[in-house]
Amino acid sequence: LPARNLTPLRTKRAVVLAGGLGRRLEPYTTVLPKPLMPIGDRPILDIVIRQLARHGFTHVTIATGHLAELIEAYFSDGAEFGVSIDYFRESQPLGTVGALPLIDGLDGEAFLVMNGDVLTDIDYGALLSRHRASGATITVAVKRREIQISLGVLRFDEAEGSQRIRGYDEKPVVSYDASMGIYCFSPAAVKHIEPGVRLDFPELVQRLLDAEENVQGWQSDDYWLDIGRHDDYEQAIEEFERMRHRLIPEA
Amino acid sequence: MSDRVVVLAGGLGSRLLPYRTVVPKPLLPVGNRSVLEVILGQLAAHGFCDVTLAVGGLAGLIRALLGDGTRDGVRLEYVEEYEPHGTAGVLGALDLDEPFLLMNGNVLTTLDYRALWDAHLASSNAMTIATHRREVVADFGVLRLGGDGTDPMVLDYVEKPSRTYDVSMGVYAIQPEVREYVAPGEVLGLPDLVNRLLADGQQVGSFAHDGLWLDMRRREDFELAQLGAGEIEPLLPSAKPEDVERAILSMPPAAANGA
Repeated sequence: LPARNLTPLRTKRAVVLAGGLGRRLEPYTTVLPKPLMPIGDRPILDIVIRQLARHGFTHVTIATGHLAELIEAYFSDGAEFGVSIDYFRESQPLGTVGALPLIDGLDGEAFLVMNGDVLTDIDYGALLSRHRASGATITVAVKRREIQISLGVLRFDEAEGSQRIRGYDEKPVVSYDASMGIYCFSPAAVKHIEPGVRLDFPELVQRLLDAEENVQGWQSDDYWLDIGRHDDYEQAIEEFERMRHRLIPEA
Repeated sequence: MSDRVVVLAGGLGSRLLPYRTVVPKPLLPVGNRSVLEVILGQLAAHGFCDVTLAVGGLAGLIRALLGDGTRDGVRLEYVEEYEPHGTAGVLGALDLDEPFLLMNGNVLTTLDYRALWDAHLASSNAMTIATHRREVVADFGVLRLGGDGTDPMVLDYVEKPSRTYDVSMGVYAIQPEVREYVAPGEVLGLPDLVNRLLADGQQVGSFAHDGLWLDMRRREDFELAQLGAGEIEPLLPSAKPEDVERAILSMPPAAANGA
């Protein structure tokens, strides 16, 4: 047998970003960290952790900041969720990815990074396997989202400065490839982040692209809501019971 | 007869539940006045004293409040739409043979109606649309993807990108011939009428306004207007006493007595 098949099964590890202030959901998030915002009978992060456990993740590190102690009290060592949980507490806000070089053990294998406030039924395990097979430095899960512009939008003549109108579109729909807030990182990606310096994901992507690293998208048709957005949060509360069998069949 | 303005005051503000269940949209308040009263005062201040109000459901409330328009410095006529015909459909019911302004009765704006009017008359446009630039932010991290469909490459990533749109303010200067594009009794929206004109080779122009513009049917605009009512109100020209006097003097005696 080739030597590599004698190594133990590759572990699946995830870093969940749970340190944000949740400004868009104020005033609730002044007393509750965003990942503990309730959906149905449980916090959003409870759903996420159970999903990770079901998809074969054995080690989850929760990066906390705002109201860290509440998150630690809720999830403890993870025994109740069937996964080993530890914490990285940010003493100062480090942005979405600034904490990664300070977390132990991320220099071995590729791992999952995700926001702690996404409600989705994506197959996290398949995403990580696909990333490992592709050789990409970072893989970003992407979902097509549509926005209706609730205005009467005018199209003009091509000529510069023309005041002549060519068309009138009432409430047009525009679509975007939205980042789902779920990523796979190879250890090489972390080398582009300075320890202890604030960095957000969009800047890291730009940095990697400038360094000609391979950044891939993974287009998903899965259910996806970003609980940090008011509209999505309301929709999540409305749809949770109907979606429950797809989100957490075990709980 | 001065230049005529048709104000659309029908329709229900379903986007503003629960307010609209008791208040017709154009009577929604800004400070201590309704939007419609603000509009009538502005029109009078710009010398537009003949106003036709197209009213739908709850017409009685609007009539009871505005009467013949004397108090706001205009001469009001009413056209009742028993069934909604859309923003352009009402043109089929009007007997107009001069250019006129058509506008929604829900816009709170500092637009110079007279300047729009003059620009329209100086042009060869069949219709001139007042436009405003609005920025719309997509509240997502947005990726630009390249390469093949299954394994696309990420080309860039922009957090909450914004796009600017030129939008119709709901105020139009219109040549009388445009009415020929609307069949009597037809249900037709303004966007469809504009596209019908364009398809027939008619010239449609724009008049850009970069001052205040709020569409009170939109919840966020409505809320903004309430928050800023104190600051907004002084910006809005209203009827001057001499306009009101002139309107009263030019009315038939019975109307001036409020009969």
